[in-house]
Amino acid sequence: VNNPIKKPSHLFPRDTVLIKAVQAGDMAAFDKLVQKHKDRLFNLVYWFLGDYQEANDCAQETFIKVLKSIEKFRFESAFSTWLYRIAVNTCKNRIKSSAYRWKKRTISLETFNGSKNGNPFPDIANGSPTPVLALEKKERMMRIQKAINSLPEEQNRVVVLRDIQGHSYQEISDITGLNPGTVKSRLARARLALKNQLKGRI
Amino acid sequence: MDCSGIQELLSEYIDGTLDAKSVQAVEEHISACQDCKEALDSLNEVIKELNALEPVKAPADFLEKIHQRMESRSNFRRLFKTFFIPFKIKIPLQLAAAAFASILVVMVLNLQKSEYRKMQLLKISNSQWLTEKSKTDHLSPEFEMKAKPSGPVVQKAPKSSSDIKQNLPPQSYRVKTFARPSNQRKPEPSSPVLAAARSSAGKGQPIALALVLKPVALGGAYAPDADMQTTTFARSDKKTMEKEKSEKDVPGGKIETGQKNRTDDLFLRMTHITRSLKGKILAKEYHKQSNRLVSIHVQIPAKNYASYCKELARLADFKIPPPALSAESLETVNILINIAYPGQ
Repeated sequence: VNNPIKKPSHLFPRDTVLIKAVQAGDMAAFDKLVQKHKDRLFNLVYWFLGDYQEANDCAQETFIKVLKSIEKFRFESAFSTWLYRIAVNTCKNRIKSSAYRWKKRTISLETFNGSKNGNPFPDIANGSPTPVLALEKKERMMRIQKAINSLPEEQNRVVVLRDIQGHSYQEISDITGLNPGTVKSRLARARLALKNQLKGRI
Repeated sequence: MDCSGIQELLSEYIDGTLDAKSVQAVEEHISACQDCKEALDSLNEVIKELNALEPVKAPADFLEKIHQRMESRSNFRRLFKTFFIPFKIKIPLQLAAAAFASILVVMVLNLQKSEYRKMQLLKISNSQWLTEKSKTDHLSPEFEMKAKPSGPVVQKAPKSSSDIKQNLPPQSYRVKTFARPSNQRKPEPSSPVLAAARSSAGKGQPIALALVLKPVALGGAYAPDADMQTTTFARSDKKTMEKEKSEKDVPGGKIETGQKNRTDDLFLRMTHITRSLKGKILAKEYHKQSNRLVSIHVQIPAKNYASYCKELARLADFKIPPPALSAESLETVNILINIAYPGQ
């Protein structure tokens, strides 16, 4: 079953209205745009990078880039597609940067503890009814996270967009710029690798 | 279709993007193959897990942080604008950079040039001092040879001219004898300033004067034989001066100091005369062994030439009466004075 994209809440006006307002110089509209998309974007960036602080930085940078180039947005694609494309490129650059690689090599273990770099799962740590269940859930989460982070960059991107963010093949193709055939084969390989890593451990 | 072929299709089978024919093939296979059925189940489980992952939310201050970052950027931009917009600079940045670079290069070159000039001046003054100081050391061998047997060459000239006549052509004898020391000095590594002064001011040969000092000029205490073994005296050599002072204190060193003082005295008097007539001393020469002043090269204003000669006449006798100035109205005249001491 091809999961439909989770639509953002209807509290916000439509993207087109907001974007036109931003293009006209309305900064409050930009704030609304950020509020509307920040969580989904943040989740995407977080699973790309596997580090909360890095994700925070990258997500902020993505929105700043959006504001800078929003005048060039011509409504030829969905705003979210455009937004995620910018996010993907920002993350790519970040991963390429030596500072990120150094950080990943040195403190990757601390990242999985979730304590040093901010806690990505606050609800699990705080208000879960049964601590044992919460711990199990957290451990499972960490295993999945580790498996996803161990994937090669191009496989990670596709599987995050498809199975965590729930985009269609066509959307993934639009966001990443890959042709749909490549998306399918990469996704198959990524899922197989995850299955092999997590077999019997979930 | 074998197992690996089927397993390649499982991902798409789960997503429902396979065509009907492939779907049928997969379903037929997994109904018969337990391994592939398990593979499909675990794959489905993984995907379900991923779908069910708790979304990671942005921190509460996310928007605030974006505003902060934008503000710091716009601050920078505002700063940039305040610096550049008022001037309405439309020049491309590269052009401006090129202009700046060329200005810098010109400045640096100018700086170096002036620095170089300073260095040259310094060198000149240094070498001038050195040449004056080490005059006695740099006497030409020819001069020394002539000087050795009986003091300065000059003295010999008028008296025993027949001796020299054998070696030198008669017409050029007098001039040469007087002029040689200064002429020979020219190729030495002496200062360009001095050379220029010599050549330009007098426009040619300096006027040569041969003097025989009057005994009274040196204070009457002149002893011709007590003039040996004195140290080199340089005009402003403080060490030597101090040495002299210390020698003065030692009884027994009196004669020597007296000797030096006389020489010093003569030079001082010459200096005094020259300066009082607005002239300057270009060079001086001491006899190497006796350390007595033997020649002095001065430059004085032409109008003071007569009074200069008068002043000299008080100090010494002219062997040959001083020549009159030529009709050419030179501003300054160069005079090369050779000094002989009485009794030689």
